[in-house]
Formats: sequence, structure tokens, C-alpha cells
Amino acid sequence: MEVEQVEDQFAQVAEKLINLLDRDEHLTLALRGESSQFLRINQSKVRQIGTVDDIVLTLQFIKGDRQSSLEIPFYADIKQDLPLGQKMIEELRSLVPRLGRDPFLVLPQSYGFSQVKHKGTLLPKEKVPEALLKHLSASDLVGFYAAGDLFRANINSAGQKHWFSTQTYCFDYSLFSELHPQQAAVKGRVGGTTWNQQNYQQKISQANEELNYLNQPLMNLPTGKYRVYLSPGAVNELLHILAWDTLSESSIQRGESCLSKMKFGERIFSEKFSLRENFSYGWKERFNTLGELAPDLLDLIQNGVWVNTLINARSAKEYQKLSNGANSEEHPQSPEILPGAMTPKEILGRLDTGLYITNLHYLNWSDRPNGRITGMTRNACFLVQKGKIVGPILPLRFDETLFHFFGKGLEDFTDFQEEWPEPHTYLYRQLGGRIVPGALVDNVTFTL
Amino acid sequence: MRVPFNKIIDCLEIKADWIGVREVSCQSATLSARNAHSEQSNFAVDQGVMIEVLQDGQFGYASTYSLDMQSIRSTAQQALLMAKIGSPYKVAHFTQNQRPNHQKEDSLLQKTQPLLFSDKLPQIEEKLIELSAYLKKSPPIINAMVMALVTQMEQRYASTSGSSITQNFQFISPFMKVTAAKGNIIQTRTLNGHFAHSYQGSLAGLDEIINRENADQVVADVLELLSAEPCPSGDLDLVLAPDQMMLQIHESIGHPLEIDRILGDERNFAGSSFVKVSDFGFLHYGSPMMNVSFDPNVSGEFATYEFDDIGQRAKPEKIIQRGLLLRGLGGLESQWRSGLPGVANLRASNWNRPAIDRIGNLNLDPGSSSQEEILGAVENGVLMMTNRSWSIDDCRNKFQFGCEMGKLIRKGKIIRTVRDPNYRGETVPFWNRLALVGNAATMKVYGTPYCGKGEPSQLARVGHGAPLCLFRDIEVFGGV
Repeated sequence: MEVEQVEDQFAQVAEKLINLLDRDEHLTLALRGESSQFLRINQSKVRQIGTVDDIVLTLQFIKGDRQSSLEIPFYADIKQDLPLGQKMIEELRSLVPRLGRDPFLVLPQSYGFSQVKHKGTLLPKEKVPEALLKHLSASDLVGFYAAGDLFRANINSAGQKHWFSTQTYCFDYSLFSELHPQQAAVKGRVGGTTWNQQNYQQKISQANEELNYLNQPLMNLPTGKYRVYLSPGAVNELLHILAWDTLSESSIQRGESCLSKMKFGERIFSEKFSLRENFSYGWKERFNTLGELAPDLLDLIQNGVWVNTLINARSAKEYQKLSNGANSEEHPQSPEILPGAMTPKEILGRLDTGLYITNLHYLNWSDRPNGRITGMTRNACFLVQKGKIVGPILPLRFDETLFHFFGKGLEDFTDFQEEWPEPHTYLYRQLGGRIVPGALVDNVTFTL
Repeated sequence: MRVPFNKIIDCLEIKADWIGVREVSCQSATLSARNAHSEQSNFAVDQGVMIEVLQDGQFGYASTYSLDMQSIRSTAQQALLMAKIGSPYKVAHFTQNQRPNHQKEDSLLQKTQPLLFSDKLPQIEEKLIELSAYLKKSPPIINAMVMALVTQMEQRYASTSGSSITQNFQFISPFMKVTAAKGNIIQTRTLNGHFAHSYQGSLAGLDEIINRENADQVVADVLELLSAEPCPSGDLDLVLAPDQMMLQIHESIGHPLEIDRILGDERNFAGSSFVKVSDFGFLHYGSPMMNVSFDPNVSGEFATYEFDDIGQRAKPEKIIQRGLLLRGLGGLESQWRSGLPGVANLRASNWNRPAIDRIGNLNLDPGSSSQEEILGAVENGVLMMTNRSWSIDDCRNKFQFGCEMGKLIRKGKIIRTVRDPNYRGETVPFWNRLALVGNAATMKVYGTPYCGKGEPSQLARVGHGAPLCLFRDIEVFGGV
């Protein structure tokens, strides 16, 4: 797949299809594509290996006060794409007037022009298994490598054009303890646009050393309240569930967010907690499916005060607000929790006696309107007593509110953050990531 | 120019131990209405091919949406390259024994009328809009949503060992949800859960689900919940309705018994299992009341199919009998790797994902107790209905579930409604507290299109049928 050719053909096809529109018709064309290699590893060996090439064009067609969207393949060949596009526009022209009125339909506007291209230096496809496995010092590595071209584009009948392309890799992995091959692992993730073999091997060596802490019997702790240190990996999971509809303007208005009962503009979390959208890392396109451009930085929670929700143009119209270019789900795309003051050397001492948690798993709402969540500890988690690691623990279930984790229970964040690129591949390889510090939280309730 | 499916294998120009081709074509519609208006109905046409190559004991795959000769040949070369570079590091040595040889040109379902741009879709959308207006009519209701997802799929499979299979499906997922608010209380009620009424069949079946009678019940329930007390806490008897049993089965039986999970493939993502290879035939998974079947042949159930995605014929199997664990949920690859008997469940979400072990239709068989007998056997307990939250540890042991609605039961009688009911437990002790299982009259079959697993990740369709069930002495609690 030649990405440059895709970009060129997309622009040509879009122009020709837009020229077919009648006076009361509008069109937005959104493109999404990938050329990816996937390698799945179990027991430090290859389980599945393959490639996926896919390009999808979405035609968002408006006629009068009705609209619909249609996804079709895009071949990057005007001789195929133009007839297919013309046929689909005819079909939509016939279908859309028969659909219901959409009072919150947003007509395309020109949100400008943007073109962002990130070039990467990735492993050649044929070298990937060797690079990841040949000199591996770990006997039970389980992981998933995904790499290749990703691109997104948006052109509309009001004249705007956006293009975003990147070449990225992400290797998400777990090194399992020989003593506890089902449960105890050191987790890691490397990702970016430039593969660094030395960095990878160093990370694996470091993880191997950390495994020594896990090769001991797992302690079965009683339920109750504990002080906890959540490493950035664990905070990443809390941010993931916070991102699930909580800050969406439409979810708040519909009563589907734990902020629905809160007062906008008030302090609802700890003053130590600040959350923002930060697109400056370049992981993801800034434009949404309407072509709106999100700002590089957008404060959402500032020193505990709720200052913004995520709003796209459709929600803005429905609820008479100003859009800030949020995506269709109004979830954070590149969120960052700002760091605090706790240095790495201080972590164990300030934790004193409690749990050192590197990962959390399967978080879900146990009482969404009131912000209560449940989930499990996972992988390398330890009991700490008087600032010293005692040993690894069996998984524990917690049930606690987000208003406690990031509110009255929060003592501090670390002065460092970690980057967690997006590893998910449901339907297609996702872009994005999160930047998170570690967190010291008191009095967390563990129930099972 | 597009290569016809029956010519693909002949034109590949690669040499390998075995080659398989799977082509999937889909048309889908997402029809959506909210608060008496259309809410961006969407459509999709999708088509692509997955070429799988076995070389030197390793399967490699490559998939493309582009079906011209050049793309197909280049994709085949990619698949062969993947197999070759993976082979020196393979986790298992596979052979053609893991790719059976069957022929089937008919399918269970007659090929249906093409979906897209038919008159039916605007008619269905109109009905959804009307019903959303009907749902919204009561003032405390702040949001009313009605949806229908419809997918037509044709899947064709062929291989160098002689497989030739065509299957056609029509998947339909209706959904209804209302949210109501009164003071500081916000409650949401759905029609038996998130797309729980997913089925295979005709569009005519939508009328039995998306209708005013069901809408009236959903509205009545949510208004009742606004005034209900929170669910009490304690170790109580727990009666689970089929629309919560669905998630209990899915999370604490289905996933732990996937053999690829038991073999450790999912440990980096979805997790592992507490079940070991040595448990089969020996582990008392649940009480003697517990009988669980894998059944891919149930008419209309969401994961019904004749062949899995590597061409293995699918037939019913007993998974747990009288509480004893008999068989895992694993296809030919996992069966070979583990030495365990399994089922035909190697499935992929689409042409762009490789097949992995998926749950399929997994049902708790009905027992002999009537609803009256089950409720009558409860001295102090709660009936919980409709899943809204699910969480389980990465070995599928410690779980917690939340439901939309509860009913307090005292001395065999339902006395009042409670809100925000939750419960937690551990899988094997929980299933060993299964005391009574409802009869066929209490049985309901549900499904979901959103079972997630795998790297790269995939969503699979699953079906779960269950009767009303009574569990003794379970930790139950309410909201904040």
C-alpha cells in the first residue's frame, strides 16, 4: 500500500464526488486505513503472525434536514473508487429522504486545512520475530506486536481538507513468573515511530530482574481498607474508565455520567488532580469525523475543578454549547494527568504500609451515577510494610469511587509520567495514547 | 478486476504445505432513534479475504479488502512469508490435521433479500422513532433510545485440502433504553440488557421485541426504580433471572473454558484461567444441578452456525454434566496443543482477523423447578434482573456483577423493588451453591455481538440461554 498514492487518490475522488452534489446536499468524506503487521507471542514463541491491509471510506451525506452515513471500501484507484462512490451517492440520495428528520444535524463547515505526516523507522516485516525473540532472555514472554502505516483523512463539501498519517509500532507484553505462570507478571509496553532494539532488550532485562520479586509464594491478604501506590500502568486503567462517557457532554446531559449530578465549575476532585487533552505528542489526528479540529491542549479538570467537558458540534447544537472538537463518542483521545511532587525514591517511604500496585484489570462501574467502580489488581502487586516490599500478593478486588481515587483519598502524584501508547485493535488498529504519573492514595476499599 | 472466489486458490502462484481462503462479505445497518428523532442511522458495505498458509508447521495469515488479482497474489505471498519467518519460533507444530476437509454449499438460512437501500430500513427507523417518542412521554424520563443493528453476512471458505463451504447469516440486535431522574436519583432501564435480544432470523422478528408492550414495562420499571430503596447488603439467597444468568455464564463458564486461554495465549490481554488441563473429567465446577451445553445448532440463537471458520463441522457437546467439568471450548488447534477434546469454535470476527477459540452458544440446561417453587424456596433473598456491570479477575475467579433491578424476597414472596443491586463471589464456590434450576418454562435465550478477546482484538457474537436459578448464601450489596 503506498500511502502517498492513497492521499492523492482520496483528494481526487473527493473532489469529483462533491461536484456531483445537488444544491441542498452536503457531503463529508472520512478515510481510515492501515497496513499492519501483527505478531502474537506466547511462551516466548510465535503463536499467530500475519498482516492486514484495509481502507474504509465513510460518506456522510446530508440532504435537507436528513442525513446518513455509509462505509465502503476505498481502493486508492480512481477507476474503481469513482464509479463506486457515484453509485453510493445515488443510493443515498434515494434513501436519505425516506429517513427521519435529524434536528441536531450539523452542516459541514470548512474547519481549515491540516496535513500531518509522521515518518517512522520500523522493523522490516521479515525481521520482526527474530528481533523480538532470538536473543530473548525470558522464558515466558507473552505479548502482542502491531506495526505499520496508519492514516486518517477528512474532506467536506465546504472546502476543508485534513490528512494525518503515521508509521508506528506498539509492543505490549507481560513477562510471567516461573512460579506463577497464570497470575504473576511484569508488564510493559514500548511504542513509537522508531524501533530501538537496544531499548527493547534493556526493558526485557529489567523486567527479568523485577521477576525475582515475583518468584515467591503469593500472599492471600484480608479484605479491608489499604493505602495504595498505583504505578502509572495502574493509573492508566483508572483513566481508561474515567474516559468512558464521564466527560462527554452528551452523556452528562443524558444522565449517563457520574458528573451528571455534579456542578460544573466546582471542585469535584482533589486540587492535586489535573487532567487535560494533550495532542502535542502527535499520536493521533486532531480532527474528528465532522472535520473539527480539537485544540492542542484542553483542560478538563484543573486542580480538581471541573472546567470543561468534551463537546462535538452535534452535542453543541443539541445543548446550545460551544464545540471543542471532541470525537463522536466524546471520549478523551490523548489525555494527560499532570504530575505531582513525589519522587521515585519517596514512593515506598511515603506508602509506608500498604499495597504497591502495578496494574489493574477489568474495571467497570458498580454504581455509575455515583462514580463507584470495581476492578482487580493484576500482575506484579506487592505488600509493603514500613517502606519495604514484603512479597507479592494474590489478586484483590476493590470497590471504590473515582471521587475517592482522584479526590479525598489522593495524597500525591509522582513527579514523573509514563507514556502509554494505545494498543487496542478492535475493528481496526487504534491511534492515541495516555500520559500518566503514579499515584499515592489512602484508604482504598478492597472487598474480595 | 475482482477475482471470483472459486478461482482464488488456483491463481495464488505460491507453493505451501496447505492454503486456505476465507472471504467475508457484509452489509450492515445501524438504525437509531432518540427522544422522538432519528439519531444518525449508519450503513456499511464491507468485503475482504483472509489467506492462510501452513508452512513448516506454522500458520501465517494475510488479509486484504482489495480483491483484484494483483492484490490477492501479493497477499498470498505475504501469508507465506509470515509462516516462514514465524516457523523457527513456533509455539506448536501444526499440520493439515488442524484444517479439516468438508463441503457445504447450502446454508442453514436461505439467502435473504439484500439489506441496504431496501424499503424496509426506513420503515424500521420510523418505528424506532415512534417508539422512542412513546418511551419519552413520562416527565421523569430524560433520555429514551431505541436501536436495531442488522448485519447480513456471507462467508465462503476453500482450501487446498478440498474444503468448500458457503454460509449465509442475518444477525439482528434490537435495543431499548430509558434513563429517568428524580431529585438526586438517576436510574436506567433497558429491555433485558445491552443488545441482549440479539438473534439470527428475519426482520419480522423485530416486532416481537420492539413494541409498545415491552416499552410500557421498561418505563414502568424505571419509574419504580426512582422510588425504590437501595438493595440491602448481606449474605443472602440470590435468584438470578435469565438476563443476568447470561453474563454469569459468559464470564464465569464461557471464558474460563476457552482452551487457548487455558494454554496461556490471552495472558497479556484478556487473561488466563483458573482451569487447568488436568481438571477436565475431575473438577466439580458446580453443584449436581449444573448442566451446561455448547450448542451451535439452536434455531435463531445468535452464534448458531454449521461450520466454524477453519471448516470444522459444528455439533452440540456437553461441557459440564451434573457439575462435573467434561470438555473445553477449543477448536482443532487448541485440541492438538492440549490433548483435550473440544468443540468447533475457531472463529474470527471478520476477514481481517485470524480465527481463535470463541465461546459460541453456551447454555445452562433447564432443570425441573417452576418459578413459584424457586421463589418459594427463598426465606430471605433478592431476585436480580438484567445485567448492567460485569468484572472478573484475570484468571476468571473473583467476580462482581451489577444489575438494573432487584426484588426483595421474604418467606417465599416478592415484597418490594430495590435499586442498584450487586453481588460478588468466586467462580467454583458460587456454582457449587446452585440450589435450584428453573424448568423450560423459565428459560430464555439471549445474545450479544460484543464478546471481546484476542490480539489483534476481535468482537464475537455469542448466545446464552438459561432458566431462572437460585444460589444460596451469596454476598449481595447495594449502591453508594
